[in-house]
Amino acid sequence: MAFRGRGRGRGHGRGALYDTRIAHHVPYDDFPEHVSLPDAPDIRIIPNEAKVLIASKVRLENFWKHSSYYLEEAAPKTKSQHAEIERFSDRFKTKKQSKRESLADYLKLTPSNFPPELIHGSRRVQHDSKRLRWDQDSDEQLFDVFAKLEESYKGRDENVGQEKKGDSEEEEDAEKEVEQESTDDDDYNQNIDFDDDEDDWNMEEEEHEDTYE
Amino acid sequence: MAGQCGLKLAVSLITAHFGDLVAKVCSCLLRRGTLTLQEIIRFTELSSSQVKNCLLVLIQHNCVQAFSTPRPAGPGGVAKAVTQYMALFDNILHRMRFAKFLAVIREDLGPQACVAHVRSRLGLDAGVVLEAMIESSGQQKAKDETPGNI
Repeated sequence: MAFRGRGRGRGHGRGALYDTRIAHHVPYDDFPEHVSLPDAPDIRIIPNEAKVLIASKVRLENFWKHSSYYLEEAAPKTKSQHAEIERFSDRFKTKKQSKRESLADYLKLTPSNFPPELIHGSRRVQHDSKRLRWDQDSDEQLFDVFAKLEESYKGRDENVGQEKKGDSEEEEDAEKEVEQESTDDDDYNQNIDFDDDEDDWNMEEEEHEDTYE
Repeated sequence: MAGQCGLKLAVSLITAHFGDLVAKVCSCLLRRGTLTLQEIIRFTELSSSQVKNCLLVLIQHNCVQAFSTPRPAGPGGVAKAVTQYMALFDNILHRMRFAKFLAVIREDLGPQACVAHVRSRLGLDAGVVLEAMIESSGQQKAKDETPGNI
């Protein structure tokens, strides 16, 4: 039975070989001589329009990279970091990453904009609705329009909160895990790696247990 | 043009703009087609909150479209609407040319007059583009605006 399988494999292999042999042979020429190529553009001379576009593109990409939309996976804290007491000298350590603004500040999490199942996880209170505005130097008319919009979805948020209780079926944690540093430095507000099952001070015992598996 | 090279380009664009997590979700949607939230969580092996945040970002930037389809009731069950997500391949590729879009709009309508047009053309989150625009138009105002200078 094993041979049958191998035979089939060989048969397929032969079939593939025959397919390539059917193509007609042309001797391969490494450096063909009589080929005319189009003139290569001279990149030393960049037109001004192109320079402006390149600069604009680079600015946009930098903006996106430093925006709240750039989601990074939070580095899992090592177990020793959990257990360590924060030292006075830690305050003077330079932070490796600058803070990112919270994603919730920039999204209008209403059912009209996003599917309800994405908003259900936790109620995201918008602290600063100014950031939602597209043009911060807006005219007074736009200012009034936005003020009205704020009032209207304050009412909607209450409705969403009532709907959420009836609809949610998922087993996830109620806490939001936004993988950036929040504006508050408190661990309480960071909402990262809350795992009630783990005991930080007795983690070493559990490590030994893993060797039995 | 959704060939393999196109998919790779789209994924690399999303990676450059929004990071690896969002790119993973986007890649999953591009390669497997329309999926539900649970399927995305299963295929990407990310946490549900991570997937949700990634989808929020992608929807905000009009790279993913969410739509709900009613599913027929199971045995003894109630018919419910299931939300599915679809990657918008063309829109992702268009992000490469946002600088050109802005240049054209600015040339046509002037730096201050294009708020509404940017909004309508670039989807939900023109705010991102708009902030960049206002910043660049502010820089332009600092220089002398000569006619013909974009």
